[in-house]
Amino acid sequence: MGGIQEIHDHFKLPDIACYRLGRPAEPLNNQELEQILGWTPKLQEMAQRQSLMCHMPNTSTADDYILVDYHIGDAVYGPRFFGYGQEHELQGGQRSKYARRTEKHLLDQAPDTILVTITASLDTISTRMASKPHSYAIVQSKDVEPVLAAFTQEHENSIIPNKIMIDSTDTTVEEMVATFRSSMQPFLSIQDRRRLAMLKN
Amino acid sequence: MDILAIGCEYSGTTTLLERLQEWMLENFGQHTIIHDHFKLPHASGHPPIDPPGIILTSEEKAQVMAMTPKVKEIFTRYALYYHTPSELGKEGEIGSIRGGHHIDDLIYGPHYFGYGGPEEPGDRRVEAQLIEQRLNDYAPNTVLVLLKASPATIRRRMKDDPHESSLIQDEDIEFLLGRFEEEFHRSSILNKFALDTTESTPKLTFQQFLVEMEPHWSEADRLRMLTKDA
Repeated sequence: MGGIQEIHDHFKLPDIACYRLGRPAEPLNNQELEQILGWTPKLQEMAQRQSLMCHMPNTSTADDYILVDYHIGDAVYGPRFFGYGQEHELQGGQRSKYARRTEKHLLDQAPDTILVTITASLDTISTRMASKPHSYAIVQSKDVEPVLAAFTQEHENSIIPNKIMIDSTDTTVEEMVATFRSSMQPFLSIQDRRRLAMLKN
Repeated sequence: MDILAIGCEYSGTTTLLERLQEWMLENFGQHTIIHDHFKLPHASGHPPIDPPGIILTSEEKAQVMAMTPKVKEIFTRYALYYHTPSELGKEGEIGSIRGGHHIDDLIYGPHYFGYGGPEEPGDRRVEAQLIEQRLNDYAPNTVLVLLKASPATIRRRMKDDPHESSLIQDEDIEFLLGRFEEEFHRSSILNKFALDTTESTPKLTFQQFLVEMEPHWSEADRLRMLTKDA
């Protein structure tokens, strides 16, 4: 599509680092990542909430703005793994409800936002975890089922009207991208279509 | 009304803002929280309104201070942007009271915490410009108030009434007073005035504040004053 893309994929603790301007710092080292994981739930909640707000779409001048996990990951992982955002959370209340508030902001600023939820079978997730484990992975084997269910629940509860769910279980990356492209079709804005048309000509 | 009060620690910013909060309740019939948590380790909480659970515990303050400069830089940058408007408020909104904010961060970050220096990641000169751009775009009535006092007065206050987790060091006072003055004049916020608290009392300083504020009250502020008993 051309243009400038801004991608933010740093909403899973302890990965919080982002540099939108100027020279980035070295990636967080293990000591720093461990420190972040050792913060109390209050500090973790604060850092995540503030990061979410800092990354609202109207803070960007890019042509395409891509957020990975963002408020949905925060709503799923915060209460389960980090001890914040539960029912009596003092800041913003329960995280799954706070996620809807975040979506209201999101839709005010970027009404053509598309929510894309990628899912996979339990076995597929387990296989991927075993064959290519992430450093500082949040989800352990026993958590896969409830976490998958929580993402599905958040997808259903989301007030973002444009939403797609893609099952990556038995697909290659290329097939998944093809599914994504065809699923995106109804949600492309006129501006997106202008850009695509220009690339074709 | 959007107020941003700045000044070297012990110059009287918090005292002024607390008095303003009381005054708002008396004269507007409503008030707002004070965001005065931009001097590490004070990173959360709006006393006296917030429940105790919001304010950081000693353990949490220790965790904040133990962050490496790189993490402190990220943590404070997110807090700054979170507390800076990114869209225009609705007509008649009460506005915000901020203490220190990006100017504290710009001065204290590089000096005491080892982050945000010139050409470094998260260069605070650049971030401060962007923060002010947002303030000018989305809170254009913001009034910048510099509180200042003589070095001797700052030293006396430090001795007589030391702050918990105080930040500034005796040997830095002249430098810091100069830096705040410099950033006050450099700021792109158009509405600004300075108050010297050296020979003043909190009451007198607040009276002076009200005099200086006279041209800066918004229509909504004036309507609140006129109709608080209606």
